[in-house]
Amino acid sequence: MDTLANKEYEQRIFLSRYYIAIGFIVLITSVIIARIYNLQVINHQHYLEEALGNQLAKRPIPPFRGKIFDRKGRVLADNKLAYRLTITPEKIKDINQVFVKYKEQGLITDKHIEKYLKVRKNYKKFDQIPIKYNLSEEEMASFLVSDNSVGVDIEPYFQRYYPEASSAVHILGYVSKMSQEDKEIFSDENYQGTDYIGKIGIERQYEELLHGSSGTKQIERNVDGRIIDTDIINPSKPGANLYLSIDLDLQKKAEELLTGKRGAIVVVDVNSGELLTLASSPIYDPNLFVNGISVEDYKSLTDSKDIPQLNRTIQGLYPPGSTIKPMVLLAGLEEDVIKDNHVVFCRGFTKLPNYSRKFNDWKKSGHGKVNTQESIAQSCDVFYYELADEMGIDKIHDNLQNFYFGKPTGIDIPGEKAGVLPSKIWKKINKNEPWYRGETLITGIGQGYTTVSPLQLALATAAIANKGYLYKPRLLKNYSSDNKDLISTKTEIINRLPIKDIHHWDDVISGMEKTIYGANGTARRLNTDQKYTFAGKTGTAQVFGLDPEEDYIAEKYEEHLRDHALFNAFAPIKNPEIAIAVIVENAGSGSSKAAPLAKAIFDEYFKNKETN
Amino acid sequence: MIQDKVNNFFQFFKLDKYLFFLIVITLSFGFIILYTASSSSEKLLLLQFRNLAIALIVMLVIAQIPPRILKLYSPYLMAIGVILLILVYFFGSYGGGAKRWLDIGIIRFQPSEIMKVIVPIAIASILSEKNIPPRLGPVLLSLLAIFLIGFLIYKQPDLGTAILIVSSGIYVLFFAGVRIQIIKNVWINLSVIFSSILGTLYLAWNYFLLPYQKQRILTMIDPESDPLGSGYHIIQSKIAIGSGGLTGKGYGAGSQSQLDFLPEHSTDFIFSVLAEEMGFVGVIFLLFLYGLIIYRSFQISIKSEDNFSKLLGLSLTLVFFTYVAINIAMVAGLVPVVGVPLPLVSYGGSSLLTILAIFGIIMSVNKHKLPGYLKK
Repeated sequence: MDTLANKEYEQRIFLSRYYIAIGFIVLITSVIIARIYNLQVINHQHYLEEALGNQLAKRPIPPFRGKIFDRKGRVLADNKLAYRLTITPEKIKDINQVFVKYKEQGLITDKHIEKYLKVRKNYKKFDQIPIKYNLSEEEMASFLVSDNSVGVDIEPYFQRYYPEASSAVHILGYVSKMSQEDKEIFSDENYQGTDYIGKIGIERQYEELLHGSSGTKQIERNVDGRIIDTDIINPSKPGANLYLSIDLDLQKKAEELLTGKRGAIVVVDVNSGELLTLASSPIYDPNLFVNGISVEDYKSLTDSKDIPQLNRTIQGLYPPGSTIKPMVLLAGLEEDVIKDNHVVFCRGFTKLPNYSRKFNDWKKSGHGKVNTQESIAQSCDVFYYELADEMGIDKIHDNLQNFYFGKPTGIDIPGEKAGVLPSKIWKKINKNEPWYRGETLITGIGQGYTTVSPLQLALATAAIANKGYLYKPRLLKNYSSDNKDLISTKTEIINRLPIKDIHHWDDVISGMEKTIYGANGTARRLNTDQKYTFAGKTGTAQVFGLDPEEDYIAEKYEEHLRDHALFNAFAPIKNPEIAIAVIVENAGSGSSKAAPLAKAIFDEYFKNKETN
Repeated sequence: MIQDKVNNFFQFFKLDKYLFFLIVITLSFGFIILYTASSSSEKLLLLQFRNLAIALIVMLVIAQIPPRILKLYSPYLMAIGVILLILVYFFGSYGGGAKRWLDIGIIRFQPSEIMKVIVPIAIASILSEKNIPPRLGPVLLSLLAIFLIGFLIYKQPDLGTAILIVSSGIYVLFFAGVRIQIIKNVWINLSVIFSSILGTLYLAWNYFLLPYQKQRILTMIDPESDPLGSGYHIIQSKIAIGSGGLTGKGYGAGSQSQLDFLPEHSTDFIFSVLAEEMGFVGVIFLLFLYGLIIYRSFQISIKSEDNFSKLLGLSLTLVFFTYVAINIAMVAGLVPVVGVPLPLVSYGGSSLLTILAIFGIIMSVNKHKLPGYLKK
């Protein structure tokens, strides 16, 4: 068997198979080398970019939002360090399992999941998507001790925080998540890393100042998405700190006075237009909105008949009632319709030819002989019916327009309403009807079509006090960028009222003085021995629907047909400092329901001034 | 003088000088790669040195065993191997989702690793009983043994090892001259078979199968595989290799591996680390070393005296090549991830032990020429 021939045959087999094996090895090795060459040399650039994209990514650094202070440096809006639960979907295999797990743990609810699914598309790949904000200490502890899934993390962030809660909410407004509309407005790079945006109030008005500018960092990640190195390419610039003209003490006092009522109090610096108080009641907590308000909270806000979200100081439009009389009287005197010695005998009503109805005075028995000053002090309606009738609606309109009634004042928060100052043209355009003479009469006593905002009333009162200067109302007093010097906003005069005879102005002011200090003054009850003097005008406005365009009162509040109580005033009489407008909705008489509130504000103001 | 002493040393220990040096150079290169792949972990390096020490001793010991002894005891080795595998099947301990280990108090080991060496020995033994090419009986017996063992290991489940073991058995059959006769010409025969198999697989995989079908197939063949996961691994591995370029990113500067994007970068995917940091040049250098090792092993084997030695040596050399080829093809995305380490480079004790045991056998085949009176 073991012949030599056989041996040779075997050796031939071995050799042939040996060469086949070598051929096989060469073939396979060539395929492998070709593959590696393809990856490393031909497609090198592509994979190099992939590798860079893997590990390096540019990320925005959201700036630190500016704080908001009152005029004395008390914090109204701050940022606090908070923690949120985040999800990185790319790192999670079965997201539903994760949801179930954390639901069982009590960390999230269906609502969080729902919200998460909604916002998910707004994020980029490998972003940590927040699912629950502002974790409590217990929740943090519960998360940290448990065995956590990959892709679920806790992340620190700065959350807007309003330490005074509801106080000054209508001024500050609030921040909340950026909506789709916000994204269209603020779509630039500066907002890439920003979660919150001012929605209303100062937060919205000065969004760009408060926001600051976003920076850029380059992050280097490992496979877990864990950031292992961060290079700041350009740092973010914090937003400016804003100092408001608001005096928190006075603001809180006003809110306290309005507690349980619907109404507004505006206090303005007579000599600059700075607003010391802009109180609208009822108030609500802006902190509720920061991380998205819950459905229940939102429903309770929007369902409330008191409409807490309405900023009554600039959006509430009311018939001014008798509070407009000083301006009407001034117009009459300056227009030479009446002389300063003009006297009217008030029988309690007046009549117009062709009008069957009488125009009644609020005092049925009449005021008797009434001069210019007493017309204000006693708030004689007949005096103003006759004055208005003689002046005519268009002259009233033109003169009152100088006070910016019917025009937006340009206050530095959004949402201001202009109100209505009627004229013949206005009626033609808006009602498509001619003007009736009787309407002029009731316009003279601040009824009819006229509606004003409490802010407009306060500004007009200030313009009487400072004799003709209508300042642009302002909430922002000064601000600091980069924590450097404070930049002050400029005092701006939006209208200088013409003065024909300064005595006319004195006459009006004397009338307002007598409202408090005169024997028959409508607010004589407030004449207690204060350390300051003040002049004012009461008003009791009939509710006929607040604004022809916005008839929310008339429709919703059929039962609320009681008069609005109003009062406007300034103090001190000599060298006036502040002017005020008070309105309490459906409270009744201005002298008993609004005027005492104004006095309480004056008391507070002068008390604080003394102690400082 | 010194040269003489060195030669004496190698002769005494029955080692092949050239093969030994090539292995040492490749191992050293492997340690250099392992050091950067482990993100400069000295601990891992020390552990691997310990593994290497054990493996070298095993190689040295095996090199002393004459092939005829191996042949003599191959039935017993086979029997022990199969029993161990069956024991694993029933009493094995789990690790990483598979039942591969046998825990016998002091040590935990994988019988499937031993089988990588035992199977070629046993098959070579069966086929070299008589003249080659073998008759149908031994061939069928061999096939039965190969696929039984392959099946037991596949069931563990361990697809990678099963493939390696089955192919090692097939290699022995191949070198023994077993042929699938279609037409007389061997070359045409083989090229037709190879190209048709490869072509079909390639076309099916790249053009006819939808991604989810591929995933299903992969999951079916290898239940342990995680198609999604390994897909990610392969992407990262390709990025690592591709971004290395011609000359690499520099030693220790591979972002893919240093930043943990690359999975298993000290074990199965260590080739990608090399490719990323040392580039195409580094890859070619390693392949060149492997090529020399294979060439030397083949030479030793073909020159050995008896059929058993030739069969065993040639097959084991091809097994070594298969390790290399599957690992690189796997990390380069040419074949699915089956979990085969890169010989002499990847971290891991058992893999190193098996590889050096293989070289121990190849060296023993070389130096243990049969005494004249036993020559047939």
